[in-house]
Amino acid sequence: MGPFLEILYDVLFSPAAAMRQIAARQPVGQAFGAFLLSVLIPAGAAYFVLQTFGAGKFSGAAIFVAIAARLAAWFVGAAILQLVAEFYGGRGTALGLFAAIGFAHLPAIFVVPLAVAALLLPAGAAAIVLAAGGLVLLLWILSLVVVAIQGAHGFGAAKAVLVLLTPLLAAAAVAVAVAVFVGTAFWPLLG
Amino acid sequence: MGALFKRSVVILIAVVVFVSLAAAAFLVPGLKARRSDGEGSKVAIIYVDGVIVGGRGQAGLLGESGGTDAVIRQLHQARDDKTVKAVVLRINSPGGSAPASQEVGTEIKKLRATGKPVVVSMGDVAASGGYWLAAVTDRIYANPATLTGSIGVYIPYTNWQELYRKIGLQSEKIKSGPHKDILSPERPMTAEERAIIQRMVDELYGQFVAVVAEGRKMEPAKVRQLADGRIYTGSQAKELGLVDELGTMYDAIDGAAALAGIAGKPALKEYGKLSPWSLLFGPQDEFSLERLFFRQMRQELPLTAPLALPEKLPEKW
Repeated sequence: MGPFLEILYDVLFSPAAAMRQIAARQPVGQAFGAFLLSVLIPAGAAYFVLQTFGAGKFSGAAIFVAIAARLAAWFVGAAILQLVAEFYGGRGTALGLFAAIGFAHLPAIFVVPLAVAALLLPAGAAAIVLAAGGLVLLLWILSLVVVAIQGAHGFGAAKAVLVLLTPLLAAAAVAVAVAVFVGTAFWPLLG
Repeated sequence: MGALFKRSVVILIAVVVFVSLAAAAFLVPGLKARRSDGEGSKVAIIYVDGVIVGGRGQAGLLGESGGTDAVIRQLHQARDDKTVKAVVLRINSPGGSAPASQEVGTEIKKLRATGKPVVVSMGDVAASGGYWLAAVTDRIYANPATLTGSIGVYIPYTNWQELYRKIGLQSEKIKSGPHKDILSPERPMTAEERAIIQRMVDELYGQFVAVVAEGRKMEPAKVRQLADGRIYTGSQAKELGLVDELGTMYDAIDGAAALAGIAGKPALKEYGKLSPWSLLFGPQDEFSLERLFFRQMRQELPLTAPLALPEKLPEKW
């Protein structure tokens, strides 16, 4: 494991080995730095957009809230994934997974060049490029999270995907149950 | 792979990202300027649907409908919005209360006074109070089969005395003056009261005629000739000068854009657009004429508002 810049390269271009090493060494400070980059750079671009399109008063507060929410989501998300991974028999450490997931969001920095490229295109093409590029980046980040779970707990790809999906499926099930309950309770009033 | 190569690649990526960030700082304001060129000339669309009744109408969790307060607010928003250069009023109304129609008409005049043209597109029906609103605008578009006209005013009165007598209901009032319970459904109207109400109706009719004469640039005598309360089709109204053009809402939008000097296809801004949330949590009941009359019958309304409304419209048109 080399210095910070080399870790970033490995996360982007040879993630499997990089995530294994990150999970083993638990460089939480460096993970924090990588995560901040992946949050602050897109937030900077979002700040320009908000300032320009009339939300200037709230743009600072909105960006601050977004950054705080992303940091909280990293912490809580890692904790939930660690718990689920342990349910599935994982033996990795929480700090290792936390650090690996911190690095997994790095592709978010490419949102800025993608958005700038889209701005230079005609409106129709820009929307397609933004949507397609955004989807690719999302899949890249999700795949890195899966690789991070694999690296932290030594799971195969299928089990790591299951760890990632379990909280989402549970949340969806709860949402459906709440919708059914609310619908049943209030339907007579709406009718 | 060498450490130097990895560092170089990451530094290159960092340069690309930060140059993009700097470019965004310059490009985004330029984009805004470009967009404001294209979107700075909008035609607003404001809908007047159903019976025209003053007030807030039916309030819901996410809005209100049925009262003219919402329409007036939208007219003010269109007036204050610098990107709105013209307004299309889409009227689909059989009319309603004369004071409410007058109030909206006055607000339309204020909007026009700011230099923004107001064009009307008539839907199925734009009669009576609906025509009152149309008459104060710059240009009126109607479909050939639109029902319009019905220029006139009436104050409804029903005498339920015989029915009350049959069911054994006797109602009494202690009055502060002889005319305090004028239009009471519990007794016949006196000749004096009929004369009072007739004078009111005549005065309101005169106001309506004056509005049409001024808006349509017609002689009041000519307007009185047309304004015997009858309804006209869009084609008949065009021949009589009560409507300017036969055409659809999109013809009206093009007409409004032309009056405002907007070149090309204008951007539209719809007011009062219903979102899925407002459909769920907005007002549940539409304000209907039947409901209005039912409230009058139950004496929930303190005084019958003079109506600029046809007595009856065909079942289908």
